[in-house]
Amino acid sequence: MKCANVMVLILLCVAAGCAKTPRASFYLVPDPEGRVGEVTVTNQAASVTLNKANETVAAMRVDQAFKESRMATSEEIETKFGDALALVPPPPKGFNIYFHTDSSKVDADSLPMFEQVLAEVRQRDSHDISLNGHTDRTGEADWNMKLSLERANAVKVLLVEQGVSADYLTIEYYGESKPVIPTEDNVSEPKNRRVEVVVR
Amino acid sequence: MRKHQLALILAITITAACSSSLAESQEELVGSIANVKGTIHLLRGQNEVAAGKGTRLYASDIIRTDAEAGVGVVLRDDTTLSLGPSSELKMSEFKFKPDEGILGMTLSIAKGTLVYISGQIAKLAPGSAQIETPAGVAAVRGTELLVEVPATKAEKQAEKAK
Repeated sequence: MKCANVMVLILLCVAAGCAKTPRASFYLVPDPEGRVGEVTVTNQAASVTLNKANETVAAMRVDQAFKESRMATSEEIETKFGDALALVPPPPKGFNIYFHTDSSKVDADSLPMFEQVLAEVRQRDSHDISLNGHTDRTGEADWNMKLSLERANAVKVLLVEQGVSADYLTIEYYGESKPVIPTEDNVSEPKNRRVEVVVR
Repeated sequence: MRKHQLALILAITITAACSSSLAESQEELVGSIANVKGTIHLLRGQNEVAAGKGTRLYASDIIRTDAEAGVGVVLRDDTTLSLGPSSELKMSEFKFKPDEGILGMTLSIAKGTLVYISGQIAKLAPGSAQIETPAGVAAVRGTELLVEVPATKAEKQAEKAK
């Protein structure tokens, strides 16, 4: 009788896929700043939410309910994901470079910021840098559109002079349409006269 | 009259041809490759294109890594992700227009290991960043998720046969 019970258990276990490799596994882990978010995994049979650090859940099949979630050890995470974790890129970093009214010459006060951009580009050997040009609302919108492009181009010229390949640079320009500080028309606002640089 | 009709048909044909070729080349820019280990493959439509550090990625692109390889990627919404060895990920969908409130992304992992650290899409529209696997879809509301899709028996045998 006892023996039969064990047999049934083993059979159930095999049927439920205990011995099998899951089709997919999900692990919620703290991000580089230590925050733990929330993830909901859904398939044809069920839905499960993970919200604790290192909580993991396995799915055997798309039409089968998930196994009960559990806490993974850091060893397990390192064994499975160590190779991938070593290749996570640093998050993109943004900088603002400012300009004088109606000018595409970089403000002298922003030259130290430009040096920081250059240092960041070199440190991560970036091959993907965005230069987004903006103006304030002084002057005509059409002119400001051109001016925002000229500003982005001015930063591009400086970077290329310092040996950064033009192939790595992407320019976008928005004229006065995307202010940091919204103002009435024809208001001078130094914080809006900028090129946003994003180093990836 | 006939001339007019002919001109009209011609104009419609040309317009249709132009717009369809435009549509093909206007896949949304998704991000770029930030670092590479070993040999990786980038599939765009029917073609394999050269991939390395800095290569721009577009919606529908598929990245594959070889057995000893891996890749790190930065997306336009500041999501960072990486793939381990023998992995395959498709940039199925990517919409990032925060000014218009258009936000969403779907990444599909067919096999291997994925590290995903959420960016602005998951922050601005919680749950609209999704990771598809063969056994379920994960909707992410912030921060870091790891996903493993182990090789199937058939895939393991195919790998051995190589």
